[in-house]
Amino acid sequence: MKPIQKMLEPLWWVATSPVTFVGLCLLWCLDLGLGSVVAYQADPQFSARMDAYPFKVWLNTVAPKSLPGSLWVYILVWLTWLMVGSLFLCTINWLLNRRRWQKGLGEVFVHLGFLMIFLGFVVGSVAGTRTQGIVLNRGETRSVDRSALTLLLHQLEQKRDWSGKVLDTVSDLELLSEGHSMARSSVRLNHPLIWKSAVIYPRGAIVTIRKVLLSFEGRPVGPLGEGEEISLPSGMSFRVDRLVQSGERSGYISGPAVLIRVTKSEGKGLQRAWLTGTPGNARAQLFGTEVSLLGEEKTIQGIYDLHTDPGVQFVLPGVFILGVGTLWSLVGYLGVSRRTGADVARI
Amino acid sequence: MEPVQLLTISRFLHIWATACYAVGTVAATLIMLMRKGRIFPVAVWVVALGFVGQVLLLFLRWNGSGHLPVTGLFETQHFLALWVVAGALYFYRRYSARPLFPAATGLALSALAFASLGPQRLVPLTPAIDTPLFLLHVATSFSAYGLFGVAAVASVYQISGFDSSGCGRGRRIIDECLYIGYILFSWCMIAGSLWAYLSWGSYWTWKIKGLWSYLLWFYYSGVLHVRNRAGWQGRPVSLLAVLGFVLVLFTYLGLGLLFETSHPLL
Repeated sequence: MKPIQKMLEPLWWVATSPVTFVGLCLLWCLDLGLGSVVAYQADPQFSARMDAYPFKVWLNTVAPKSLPGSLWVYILVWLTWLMVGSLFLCTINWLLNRRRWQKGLGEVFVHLGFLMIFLGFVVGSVAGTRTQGIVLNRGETRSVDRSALTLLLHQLEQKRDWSGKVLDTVSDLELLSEGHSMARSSVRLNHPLIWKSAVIYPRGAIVTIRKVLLSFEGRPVGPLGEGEEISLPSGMSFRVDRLVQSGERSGYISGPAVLIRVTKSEGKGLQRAWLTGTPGNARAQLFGTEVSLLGEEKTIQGIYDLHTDPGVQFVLPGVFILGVGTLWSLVGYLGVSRRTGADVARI
Repeated sequence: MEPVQLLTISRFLHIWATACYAVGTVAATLIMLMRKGRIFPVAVWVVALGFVGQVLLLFLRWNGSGHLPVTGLFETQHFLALWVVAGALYFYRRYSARPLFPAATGLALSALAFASLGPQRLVPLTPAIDTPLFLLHVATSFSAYGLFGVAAVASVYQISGFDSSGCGRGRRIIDECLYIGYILFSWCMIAGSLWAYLSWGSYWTWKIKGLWSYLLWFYYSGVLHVRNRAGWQGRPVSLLAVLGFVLVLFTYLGLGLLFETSHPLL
């Protein structure tokens, strides 16, 4: 045996031994287990912060700022690379040395499936993109940063329960690439639009009150937007001072709400009142006359996240191959088990 | 059936299964200690009656809720216990594994006792989990947990110097549980990842429950790779099987009860 061969042989043994893979597996588990628990204790929202970026971006820009707290993720990445290498070499060595092809083919598929999933994860981490909070009006088209993709919102509707609480936002959304339609579907909670490696996920909607229609002296007034004023036949003037949107606050008033001001002729008096859509707050008395909120003119905008993950093209076939492999292995195992029924050392 | 009626029958069947497992476990233990092997099938039949009650409970709740009853502490513990007892009955039938039997039914009994702490009312599924992939994900997950549990029980016998089968098949039982359990857990992970991808557009997130599930998957991958290697056979694999089940319990119960996760139990 040549000296170089003599030197490489133990290295090859270490590289291809399942024990190496197992040792790496245990270290991986230890790092992931302890790291995730410590990270959770430090910040229970750590997963949301990590999921908000493509993994490569998170590793390059976000994680260095939180060192040593994010060291476990760097170690995890290195261990994952080593595990992929070990799994690959272990499988190659096993294939070179195996004699019977059909038996154990399930395990080959399982290893191949895992390799493709790992590969897909790496590709997705390196080449994936995340664009969050894309706001679209009905009928509006918007191109997405760093991609040739464009989103077109055809329709947008909010589903409400009997009490008016919003249950879901349903969007008729179309994805275009260089002007050509690629996919169109009804997008809602847990039903994103998926096209190749792109996923468009709905994040809800922004409802904005533009104008309000009021009733004063028994007659409809408006619709009026914020800051708009009209003079009434009685000589009084009527003005919308403030529109508070849903989710906003103005002092003790929570939106949606409207602040109206009525001024007597020649500035002889001024009264103000808050009106909201809730029962009991939709009407008020100003100068002895009832003023009430008849309706609102609203605009609704959809919010979307667009993720691209080219690795999915490897992960999905990998998952399929892994599934076939496990099924094959199970059938093979049960077959051997039924035939022998013995205490077998190697299946 | 009216929800109140269903709840009453559900409570009765829960008590029935718990009582049968308690009586079966005690009877099997006493029979083993007194070496009255001929009457051992009596204990097995008592446990089998409890098992039938549990299966009935499962189908009634499935029919009542319209989905596989595997949400919340009560239902998941029942599902886990069901698979542990199924494993014990299977290994008794196949290998006459008498010593394993009371230990495994004892494990199922403790799971049912723990289930009693959870609310028993039927809860409708939220839209997020109302999918066939959910059924596959949870069913395969708990069947795997159940088999990993039986492997751990059999391993405790091996570590203590006893054979869980009573006829030299203890290693075989551990091997079957680990191998089939791993395959089922792989299907759980496949279904879970596909479900996440179709629902949220990402097969991977950094949520702690998902991380620990991958940890478990990789841990058992490692165990499967060493279980047939000369230096690892016997006690080391048994220790790994016991440690694996500790990880299972932490991933399932520890994270679900102590942490704010995407898989809450209460």
